[in-house]
Amino acid sequence: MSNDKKDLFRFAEHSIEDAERIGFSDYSYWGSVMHNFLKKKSAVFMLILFLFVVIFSHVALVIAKYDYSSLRIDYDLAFQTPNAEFWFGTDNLGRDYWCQVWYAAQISIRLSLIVVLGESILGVVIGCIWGYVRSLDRFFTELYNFISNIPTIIYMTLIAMVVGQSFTIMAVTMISIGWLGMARNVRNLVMIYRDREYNLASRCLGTPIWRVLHKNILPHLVSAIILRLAISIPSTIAQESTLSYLGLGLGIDTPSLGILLRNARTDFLNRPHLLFFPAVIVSIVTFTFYLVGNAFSDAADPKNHT
Amino acid sequence: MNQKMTKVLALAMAAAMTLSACGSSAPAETPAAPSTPAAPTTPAAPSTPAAPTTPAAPEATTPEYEPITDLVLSGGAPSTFQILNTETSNDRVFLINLVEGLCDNNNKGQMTPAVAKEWGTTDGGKTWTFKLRDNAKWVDINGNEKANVTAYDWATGMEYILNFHKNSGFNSANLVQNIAGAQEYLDYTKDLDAAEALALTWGEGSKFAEMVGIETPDEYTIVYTCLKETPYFDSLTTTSSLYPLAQGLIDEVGIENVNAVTNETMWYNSCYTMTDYEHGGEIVLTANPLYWDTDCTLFNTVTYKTVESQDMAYMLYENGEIDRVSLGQSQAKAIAEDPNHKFHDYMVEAIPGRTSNHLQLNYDKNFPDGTKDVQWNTAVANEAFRKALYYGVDFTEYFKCFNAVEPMSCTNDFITRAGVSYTSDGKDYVELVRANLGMDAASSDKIAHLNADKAAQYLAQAKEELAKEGLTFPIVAEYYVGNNQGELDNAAVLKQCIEDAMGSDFVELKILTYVKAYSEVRDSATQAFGIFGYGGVVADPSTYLRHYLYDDTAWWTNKYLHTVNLPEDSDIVAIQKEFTELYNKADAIVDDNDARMAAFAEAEALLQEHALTIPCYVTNSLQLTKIDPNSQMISRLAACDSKMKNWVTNVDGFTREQIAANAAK
Amino acid sequence: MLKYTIKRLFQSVVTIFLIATAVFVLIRMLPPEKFYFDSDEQMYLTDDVKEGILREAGLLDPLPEQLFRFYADTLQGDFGISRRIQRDAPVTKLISKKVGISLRNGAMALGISLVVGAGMGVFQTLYKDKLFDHIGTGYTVFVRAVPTIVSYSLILVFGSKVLGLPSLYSSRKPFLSNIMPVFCLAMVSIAGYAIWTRRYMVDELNKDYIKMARIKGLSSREIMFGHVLKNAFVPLVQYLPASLLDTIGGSLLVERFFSVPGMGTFLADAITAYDVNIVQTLSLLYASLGVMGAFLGDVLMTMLDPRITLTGKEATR
Repeated sequence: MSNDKKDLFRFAEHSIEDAERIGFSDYSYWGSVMHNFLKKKSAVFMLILFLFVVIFSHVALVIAKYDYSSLRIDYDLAFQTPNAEFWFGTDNLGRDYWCQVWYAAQISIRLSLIVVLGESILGVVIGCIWGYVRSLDRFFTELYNFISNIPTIIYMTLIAMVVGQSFTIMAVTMISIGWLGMARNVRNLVMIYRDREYNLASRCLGTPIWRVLHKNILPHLVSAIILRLAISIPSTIAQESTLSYLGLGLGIDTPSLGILLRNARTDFLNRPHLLFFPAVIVSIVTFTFYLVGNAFSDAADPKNHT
Repeated sequence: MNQKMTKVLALAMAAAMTLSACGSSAPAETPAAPSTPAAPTTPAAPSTPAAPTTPAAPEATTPEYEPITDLVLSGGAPSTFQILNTETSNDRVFLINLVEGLCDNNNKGQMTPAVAKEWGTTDGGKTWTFKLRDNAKWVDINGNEKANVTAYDWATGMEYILNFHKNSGFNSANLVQNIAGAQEYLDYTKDLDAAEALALTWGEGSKFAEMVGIETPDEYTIVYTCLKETPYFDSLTTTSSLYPLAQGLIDEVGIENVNAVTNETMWYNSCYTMTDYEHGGEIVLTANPLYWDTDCTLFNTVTYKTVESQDMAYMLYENGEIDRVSLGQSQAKAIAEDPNHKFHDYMVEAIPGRTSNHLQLNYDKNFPDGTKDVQWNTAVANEAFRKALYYGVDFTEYFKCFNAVEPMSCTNDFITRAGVSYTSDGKDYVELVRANLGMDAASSDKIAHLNADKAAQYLAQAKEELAKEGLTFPIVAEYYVGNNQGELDNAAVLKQCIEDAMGSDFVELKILTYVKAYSEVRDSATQAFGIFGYGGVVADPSTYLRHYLYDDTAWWTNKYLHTVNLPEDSDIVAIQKEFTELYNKADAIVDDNDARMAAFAEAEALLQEHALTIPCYVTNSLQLTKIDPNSQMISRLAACDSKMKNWVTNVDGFTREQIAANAAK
Repeated sequence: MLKYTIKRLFQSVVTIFLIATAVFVLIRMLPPEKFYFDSDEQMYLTDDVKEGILREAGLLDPLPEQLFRFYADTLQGDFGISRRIQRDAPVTKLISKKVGISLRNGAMALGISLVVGAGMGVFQTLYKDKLFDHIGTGYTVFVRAVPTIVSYSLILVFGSKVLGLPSLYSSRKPFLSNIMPVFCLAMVSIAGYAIWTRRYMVDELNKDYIKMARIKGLSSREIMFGHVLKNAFVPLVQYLPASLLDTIGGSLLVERFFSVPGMGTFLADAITAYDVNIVQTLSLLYASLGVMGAFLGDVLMTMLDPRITLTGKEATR
């Protein structure tokens, strides 16, 4: 290159601030999301109700007349219906049901939140890599086929038998199986958006990959991720109750709504209260996440932003 | 048997059974109702069977109840159709209805004829002669005749069991302990290679005929030769070890497929054939038309349904979909408390369980990492500590898990199951032990072996002594149960019983679950104690007591107490050695039954005096039923109460009064 | 297409091989004590007997030897015998009995839920944001919100107490006793089909070609059934073969509740009973079905929608 032509060209400094400034408008993605979401009154109501349940599950244990860890068995008090002494009645061994239900609710909600959070972090990260890095596609696809084609019950039984049963083991196991679905979902979406013209252009302009993923692609994923989360929470609770039913659930020191439901399920005609309270809490959780998930995923879809 | 015929017979039988003797099935703990001794102990000429089953001619014309012709029960499925190849009672429940042995029990626990017409011994129990009936047939699934049932089938059966390559040693233990030459033949076949061993037979000139103490002088006679005088040998005939195997079946399916027979290929000689078998679904038994006892009452069909849970079974009973349900603690309680409950009058006691359950203490407990649990081991080696448990722990609340209405009927004060062996005057053996221990008589409001004063004294002593030894309280006792709600609930109750008695600041029960096989925690000795029981195999106290011998092969000693790992000079070992001596002395007495019983009672009392193991419960659960339990066979030894022969049924279910009235007759 | 099929087939075989190996190794991590007994009945068994049983089952051989024997037997179509569920019975015989039952129930439920669910979805779209739509949404939400363990119990009690249906499956009353299990199976998947049908149709309705069709003056009936439904059906159909093959696996909960002797409970029972040959064979079966279902789904989709090609870059799986 000759010297005189050198003066005609110079390198452009890449500066994030400048880049932002050019495309600046008062549009804020999360602002719009919140704005749209708040318009859905039913979803907001359910979310508040859910938060109330979560907070109340802690308060309830404080105000309870009995302490979960020191419940006494008394056959004479068995199967009391709700009354002033036992607010939710008593179970088959005459133990206060109130503190059992709320303690179990805490555990179940905590488990499902942890599992869902873990699933989505792992799922989104791996899904992005899987979708973006072509050379890894084969590997992850095979891994997916491999893991997803072995019946879950085999994993759960083996883990329960070989490793043991506890809250942590359960959470880790469920995450390590649950991320697959999320990752696959994310991968498919990433593949769709990866080669869109604006991304190609962005890449040509030297935008780093993480920035393309995070600024250009992720917003498209948010709505799908949220929807998946919303489905995942109830299914975690359901899965937990199925596993408890099979004796493969949490350790014995940790009650869960699934276990309470399992114990109460066939006798509910005679003692409806034992089934009613845990079932209502599970239903509130499930219902909340269904509504909130749908509303939020609509709100998060950039196409719906004006 | 056609339907009409069965119906008529059933009616007749119902009438006959309600009128004729229906023995007391009252818990054997109550000494008021001694049943007649199970084993004929008089060394007389071949004794005639104790109670012939020929029903009395129906005197009353109107039956009280309408009997059931097609019974529906809840139950699992057998895992095999070869009774010689299984030792689980779950399989036997089905198989004893399909294959019949030499003897049965009647509803009083006495031996009655089955294929054997009569039997006895002339030399004090060294050799036993069984005379078989000549009208018993082998049939196929559809009830078509295959062959006659002959004495040779028992020889074939025994050869099969003792041939290690044919039956892997299943059911051989009873034979090895009692039959001359059984051990030698088992060892001999073990050393052969498979093909050689499979080719062996029992016939004339065979190694088996030469070695093992069984002879078949003619088609319908079997002579067993025992290792030593065994006055109770005939009680062994109800166990799977002395069941027949038809040579014709072997020829038909091939020797290598005998264990693989199914309900379609097997041969039947008992009251029913299994006409339908679906694992996880339904099982249908149909009455065997060629069954020898044409006078007995059988159901046309019996259907077993797989039922998911006890609650579900209860609902099915309410709907009339099954004819018997055992009640859980909560159901029983609800029914008992509500006088207007539709089942209030219908709750009856089931046949008591066969096993005598104990708190088997572990004297050499490990932590899961393999290190010794010094705290527990020191505590349990302390006699005052054990006695505080023995005299102090009131299991009444725990019993309510099994029988919420009459928990005391579950009391068990001894190692030997009550109702198994008797002295010549009909006194239950366990009463001898009671006298030796100076224990109170059984009562309905208190567990007899408890003693509050002694408990308090020993508890204080234990605390003092253990504190001196430098233990820190509470002493943690790990207790393992399976991970299901029923067991967990029971464990929670047990925890409360023990902690109430010992003080939770002194002993703390920690409930853990095993997901792996129970044997995992047992063999690694990580449990502080386990509650387990054993149903004996012969009508003799030795069947329970020999498992406590100081010996590598004794079951409880080796698997639960783990005392064989203790140093030779420890107190526990000294007690066990003393017991072993007493036991051997007692076992050597074969000519005088009463002396034998007395000697065993002394040995058993020794174990209990030192609270080496703590007697806990026998199951005595409640049920709703359309079958009169008085009409079921009873044995404390082999599971036989599920043999559905001569059962008295009522389509409307039985009330408590009806059952009690029938029992009184 | 042929080349692609062969390639897919080869990949599938590799996947199945890996799964079979993994399950084989995993299942041998279970304690062998489980192999011969439940509870205390084992006290009757001497150590000789226990060892004899394990040896006979080939479980005492070194793992690689067992593994190669397993490969050889499987290739010859010999899946071994059951040891604990039904002693010495060929595994294939046990499974074939159960596959029929699960498949029949599952296919019935699938048929019902496809017709009812898709129908519901169509009507929800037709009456979008009207009463019927809300009722439909209410149903789907309710079905999802109430734990199945509870709703099955409700159905069981209602069916047996109020309608007088037999609570348990019985091969002698195949129709009546099948109503409740099939209903339970269908109830949940109806909701699934309704949701997805509605969603795909609504998505389709917003597309430009529909606007074009409206402008052309096509009636909404023609638009709905001629365009929207047809196109919305394609993604639904993709999962149809997989769901159909899935039904062979049965449903654990439904089969437990109603004592249906199907495949769902079989796997659970086999695992807890440590019946290794059954577990291996079932995993092999499930893996093959899963792989096959995905493949058939893709093929079906190309047949319905000519725009989709499997050999293209976007072909997934």
